[in-house]
Amino acid sequence: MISSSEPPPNEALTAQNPEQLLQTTRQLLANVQALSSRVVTIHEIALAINRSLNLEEILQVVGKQAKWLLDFDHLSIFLWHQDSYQLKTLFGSPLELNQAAIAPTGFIGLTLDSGKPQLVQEGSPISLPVYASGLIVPLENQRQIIGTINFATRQANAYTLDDSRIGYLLALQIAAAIQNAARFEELNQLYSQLEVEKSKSDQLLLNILPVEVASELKHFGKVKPVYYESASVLFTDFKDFTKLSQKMAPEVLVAELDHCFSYFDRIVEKYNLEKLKTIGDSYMCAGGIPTPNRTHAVDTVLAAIEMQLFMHLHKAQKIKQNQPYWDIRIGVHSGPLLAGVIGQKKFAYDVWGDTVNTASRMESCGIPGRVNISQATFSAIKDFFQFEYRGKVAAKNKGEIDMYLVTGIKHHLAIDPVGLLPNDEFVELYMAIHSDRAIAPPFCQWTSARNPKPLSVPA
Amino acid sequence: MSRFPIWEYDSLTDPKARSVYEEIRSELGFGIVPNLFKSMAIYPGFLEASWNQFRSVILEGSLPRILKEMIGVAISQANRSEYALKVHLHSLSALGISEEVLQMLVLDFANCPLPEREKAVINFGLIAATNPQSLTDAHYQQLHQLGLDDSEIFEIIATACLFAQVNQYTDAIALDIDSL
Repeated sequence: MISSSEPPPNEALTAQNPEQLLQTTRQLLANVQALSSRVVTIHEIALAINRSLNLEEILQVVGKQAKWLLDFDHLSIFLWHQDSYQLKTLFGSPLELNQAAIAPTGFIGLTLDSGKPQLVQEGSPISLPVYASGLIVPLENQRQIIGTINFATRQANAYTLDDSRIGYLLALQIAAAIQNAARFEELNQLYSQLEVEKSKSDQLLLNILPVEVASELKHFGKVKPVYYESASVLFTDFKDFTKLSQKMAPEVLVAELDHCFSYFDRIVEKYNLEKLKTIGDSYMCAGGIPTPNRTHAVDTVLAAIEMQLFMHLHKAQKIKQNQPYWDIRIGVHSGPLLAGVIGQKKFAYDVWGDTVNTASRMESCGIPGRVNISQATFSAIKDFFQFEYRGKVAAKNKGEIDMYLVTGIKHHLAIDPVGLLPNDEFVELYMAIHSDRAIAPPFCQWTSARNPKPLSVPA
Repeated sequence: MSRFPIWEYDSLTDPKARSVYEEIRSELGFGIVPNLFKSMAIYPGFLEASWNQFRSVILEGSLPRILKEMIGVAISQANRSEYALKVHLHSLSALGISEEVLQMLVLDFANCPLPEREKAVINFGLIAATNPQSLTDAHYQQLHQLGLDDSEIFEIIATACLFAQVNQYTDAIALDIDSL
């Protein structure tokens, strides 16, 4: 039925009351204006929500600004992801969400299924709990419906088709922003995973290369060999390994080697040495590389003594258990060498030069259970340790060379009678030759200088 | 004829004024510097402060800019401040709304079909700018009931005060309307 204030539909324009026609035109223009202002506001909201890639922030903006588009007593967002959903209330009291609402005939279910906005009003097939009117609009992005935005009010028949269009325009913007935020979140998770994997691979690299060398390899793809004027190389070898290994099950043999070499690894770390490799039952490490220092010979011999002690105790235990045991030969030599990484695959940090060959001879010409050192190493550490001079010993391809057996730390520099543990005086002497006097020596945990205070050594 | 010179960018020597002009041109959204700001270049410190106030009140915050511009139209209309009215109408026009429609809305505000919330906001802003002492608890309460929080009500007042000030300033210096 047409009200008396409205012009009859078929009446000619000229026959109408000009004043009334003007009034109607103004009203229509005002309606257009109101709609335009809402479209502009959607644009503003779109700008605001696209500034964020955080779902909570996006919803906060929607909750605050959507009220300039539509009147409502309740505003919420229903988000559907895989088989789970969540309903976030942005304004007003929470909406009761039961299975019926999500069922194909419910206000959410029908919107998700049809992909079209649903006006909930008097006489409509769907209804809302508590509220008289509602506008449920699908959130759609890239042809995928990810949820709904729900407007509700206690006022009856509150929403019009124009409201529905406005809601749809807003929903398009929100859906895009939510999807962007989700993609960003996925990207962040991928970055985190990548970071974890990267740190694992970095750790693996650090297991085989010194930090500085690993960093050079990562940045430049290769490592330039470095010449060191002085470093100390230590070799160990188990006497009669081959013979004993024939009597042992392979897994027992490997477990035994692993036990010993793992302990050696800890010693090497403690004395700031660099582990180079193991070759069968032979273990190789060096002091003074990759960062040169003046204490490498002392550090290496201290490590050798600790390895010797460990093997000695290990042997005693094995004898007690009536099990086979190994005696260890340890050799140390100091001198110039080249250090670096060669090869593209299965690369390793390695050292080259005559110093390495001589150190190997120190081990092979050594005496089981003893630490055998060269003249060069002796000269570097003679103030710290006591020795037995072995005289000139024939070494393969080297002729006769001077060798010494380290018998322990000098009595006045040790806290124990057999010369295994350095005392404060040893530390003072050690720090006097150290290039960095601010550091605590690696072995101070059993001296009174165990608190790493700056040592009172002369500058 | 404006009582103060309208400084064009090329004639500016003050680096602060130049940088404010550049910000206005890029941030205001019309690609120009309105005469309002050009007339302030005589005192770069005031220009900078005014622009910062304009930016924080009008370009930032959570009220839609279109609504703030409508408040500006209503206030300028009430103050019969021609410059500001023209500029606000131009702003709204740039935001996609025709000037004729806007003027009609302002002239017949009571009957305009804006949602109740927008009308209440515009009305509140108009009172805050033209007759602030008549604002009562009921006015505030009405906005609260319509879902506005304190920060949004503050924004309305800040907007109203800024536009009232702009009206006074532009009228006092008889500012020429921009050739838009």
